Amino acid sequence: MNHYRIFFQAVLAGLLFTVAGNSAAFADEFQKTRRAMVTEQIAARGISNPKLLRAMLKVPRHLFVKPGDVDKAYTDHPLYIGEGQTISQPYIVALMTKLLGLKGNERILEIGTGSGYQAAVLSGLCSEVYTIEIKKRLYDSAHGRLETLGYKNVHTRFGDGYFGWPEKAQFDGIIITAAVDHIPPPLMAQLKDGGKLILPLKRADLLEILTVATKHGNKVDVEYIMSVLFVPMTGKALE
Amino acid sequence: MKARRLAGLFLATSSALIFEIYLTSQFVVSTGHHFASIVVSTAMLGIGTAGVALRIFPKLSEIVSLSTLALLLAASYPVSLATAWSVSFDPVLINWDIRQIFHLALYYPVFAVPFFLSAMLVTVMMKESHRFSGKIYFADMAGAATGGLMFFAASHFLKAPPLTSIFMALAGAFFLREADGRISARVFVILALTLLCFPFLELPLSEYKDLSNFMKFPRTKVTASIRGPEGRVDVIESPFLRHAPGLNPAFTKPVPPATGVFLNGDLYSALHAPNDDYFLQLPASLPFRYKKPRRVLIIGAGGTAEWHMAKMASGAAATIVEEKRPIAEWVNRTAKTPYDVVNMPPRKFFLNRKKYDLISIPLPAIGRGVGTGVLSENYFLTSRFISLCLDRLEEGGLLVSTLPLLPPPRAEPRLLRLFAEAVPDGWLKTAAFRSWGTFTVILQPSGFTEKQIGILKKEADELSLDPVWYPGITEKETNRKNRFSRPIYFEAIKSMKNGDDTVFNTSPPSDDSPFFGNYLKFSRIPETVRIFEGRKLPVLTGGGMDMLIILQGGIFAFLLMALPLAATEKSRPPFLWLAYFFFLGSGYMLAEIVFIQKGILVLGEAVTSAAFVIPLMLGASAMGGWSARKFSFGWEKPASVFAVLIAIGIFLKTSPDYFANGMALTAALFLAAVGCAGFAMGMPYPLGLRRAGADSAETVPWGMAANGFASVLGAASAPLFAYLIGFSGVFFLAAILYLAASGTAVLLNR
Repeated sequence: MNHYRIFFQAVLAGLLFTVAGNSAAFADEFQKTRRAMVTEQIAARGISNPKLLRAMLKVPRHLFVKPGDVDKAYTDHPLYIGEGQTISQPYIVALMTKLLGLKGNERILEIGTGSGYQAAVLSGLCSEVYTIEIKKRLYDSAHGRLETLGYKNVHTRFGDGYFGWPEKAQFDGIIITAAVDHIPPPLMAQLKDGGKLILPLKRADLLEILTVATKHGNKVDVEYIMSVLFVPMTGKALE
Repeated sequence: MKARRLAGLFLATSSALIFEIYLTSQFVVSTGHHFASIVVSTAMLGIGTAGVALRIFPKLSEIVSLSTLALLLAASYPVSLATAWSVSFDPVLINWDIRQIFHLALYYPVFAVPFFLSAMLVTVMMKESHRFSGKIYFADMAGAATGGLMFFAASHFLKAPPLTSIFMALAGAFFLREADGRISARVFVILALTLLCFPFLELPLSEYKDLSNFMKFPRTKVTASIRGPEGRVDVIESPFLRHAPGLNPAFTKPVPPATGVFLNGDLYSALHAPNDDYFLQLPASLPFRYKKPRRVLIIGAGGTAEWHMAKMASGAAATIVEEKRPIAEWVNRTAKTPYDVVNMPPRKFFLNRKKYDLISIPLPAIGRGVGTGVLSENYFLTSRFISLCLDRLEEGGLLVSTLPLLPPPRAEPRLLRLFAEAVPDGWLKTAAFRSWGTFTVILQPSGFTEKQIGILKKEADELSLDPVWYPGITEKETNRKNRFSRPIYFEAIKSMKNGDDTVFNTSPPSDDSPFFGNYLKFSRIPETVRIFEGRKLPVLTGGGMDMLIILQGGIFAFLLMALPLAATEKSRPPFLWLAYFFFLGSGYMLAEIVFIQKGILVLGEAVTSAAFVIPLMLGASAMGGWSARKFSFGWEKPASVFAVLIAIGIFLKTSPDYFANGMALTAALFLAAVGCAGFAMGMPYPLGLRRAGADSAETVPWGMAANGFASVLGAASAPLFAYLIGFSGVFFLAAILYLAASGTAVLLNR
């Protein structure tokens, strides 16, 4: 009986080592891919903030995509994550983060948690991240993922982001990931004076314009950054 | 020729036309306006293919009986709709999936089948009995005319046009059965098939339409959904309906809840609950804040927000006039606010001679087409409509409109130019401001004083708007609150004013070429593609899609038409007959499309126009075909069509103010013109078939094919020609094609 136990323990240990070895090999491989992503997709497009690049290098993007898409996690494209939503292209995540102009002590509100990747990137660059997701399944999975990966300063909430998170207001910056045809008044009310709101302006032709709205007392300055193709990952687009 | 056969043909053709119009309405709902022309193309392709098939396989008519063809026709309706589900073409997907162009191409064979079968019926009958071509043509055209009328009845009362088509075709099969024919078992099979396909009788709504997007949100429910000949109207209640285009970003109070009214899947009107603060924070409120009007006219029920603005700004009496009946009805029925929308075409409404101190053409009345730019007509944004509006303005009144902001600048400068060129020294009487997401144009025909400019600027500042144009503006004043890297709007307007050769077409549309949304200049397509960084959709919907459809339809048509030419010289059909029927087919279709377009102005609205023009024209052609029995083939008939079309063309061209004499008289004159043209155009075709059949029965199917294929091209290319030379030009082109047919007839008679 003892022989069998020893044999089974040996097999189990062997299996664990094999899995761990494979995971380590995977992690290394991803680190290299991640570095390539940062260099070729982000730095090459003019984003040079070292802190931001480090944050992008640190977050394991492959853990924020669907298991079947792990090999595509670091490509220069958005990827479908379920519920009609996508994880943004790495460059767009970096650009939106850069536009916030973070120094390290800010409190940021994100509307549309999605996979939690943007929140994870922000986590290393500011003091607190508050993120709201309206789709229950996405919320559950992102909440679990962020907790497991140890992003302690990321606070998640299930609900309608249009109304913001009044209990935690004011925020130094707000990121909206869904296209809208107006700046939601409750969010502007929860933005600190001098704070920035990053959002895509919805257009009728599926091209969105990434814009930055900066609050100055009762006035708001809007700056158009660039147009991006909005890919509504629903229905047939998934094919 | 047995009357029973003619009755069968009449029923089968009716069923095909009901299906054709139904498909068109389905395309408008499921994908978009500009894809509706595919249906006409596929129909004509099917008709043409039937002729080619019979020309290449003459024995086909002996293998398949007429009643079997009618039964297959009944079966083909549900089967083609069900197949279309699986083809799943969606124009939006073209952005990232080039295969969609092939999906689009697949629609041709899928939808051509029913029309192929219905055309086989008429072609077989023509081939076998070409001596009775007048009677057969009469039954065919009268059936089509009746089908056109029946579609509207089927949509209104039965709510099931495809089922009507199926039953009509089955009835046709009954009349076409041979003496010893038994069709009961087969009828049973068709009915069973129909039941199986029942869930697919309506094409699915595109995933990318507003309605589909809203329905993904929780707690969103459809409270009413109406299908009728004018399209599909849905009313939804949703806590996520937050439609506030360009809302002042400094506004921090809640946006009031709204009920959404959707037309063909696109948001048409958001009916907000009254709210004192909100409406005057929308950029479209700028003219209301500036003018404080007393009497306001709003064009289209999409302007319910403007109605509130008028009330809030100055307690004005505001009237909304909406031409689409179901929209007017449902806005009045659903809204908690008593808008009392008047259901009438605005041009007809103008006959009441009332004056207003502010007339607004709001964003939804202009439609999504403006944003994405399609070759679909818009008679609200033409020089003629603007001048009609100006006639109804009181001294010192304002004409205003607000568009979505869609950089690179194209629709917005065009709107400003349309307004500015409507009055002498118009650039001194117009002003334009843009918000974060909208562009507002104001025309004050009496001109602006410095003080008034000051008031406008102050109000604009409070709404966080940037000035783009007003008399005396400098570049420094622009692009300050809503900043692009360069003042692109100011630059575009300056360049347009200077008469530079701009990349986009910004010339003011006219009633004759009412394509506000089409901004493509064909000579500048490479630059346009570069500006959009290779993205396909803005280029395709800016007019490129229409070219693609013509190209696809044309390739199919020419390939099939050329097939018989590959035959041995002995059996090769004479080329002159090909030319004759080609001229007739393209001329007929071009004239028909112009009549439908002109009918929109005369009769008030697109569906009404189609409802009158199509059956009348086909019916008149049927009569023409019938009376042609007494005549012989010659150059005179097409030449007389040429003369008739020229006379009507001059009438249409020189009487642009269709409502000057009151609607009834003008409509009667117009319909008389359609009837005359239809009657005249109905003669040369059956005469040609009779003569071609007398020469060689084998030429008849090919002649019919050439006619069908020419119609494919005619239908698809008419809007494109109209964009280039106007609808009047297209009408004269149709006349010239009949003249060419007349010349060909001279050669044929030699």
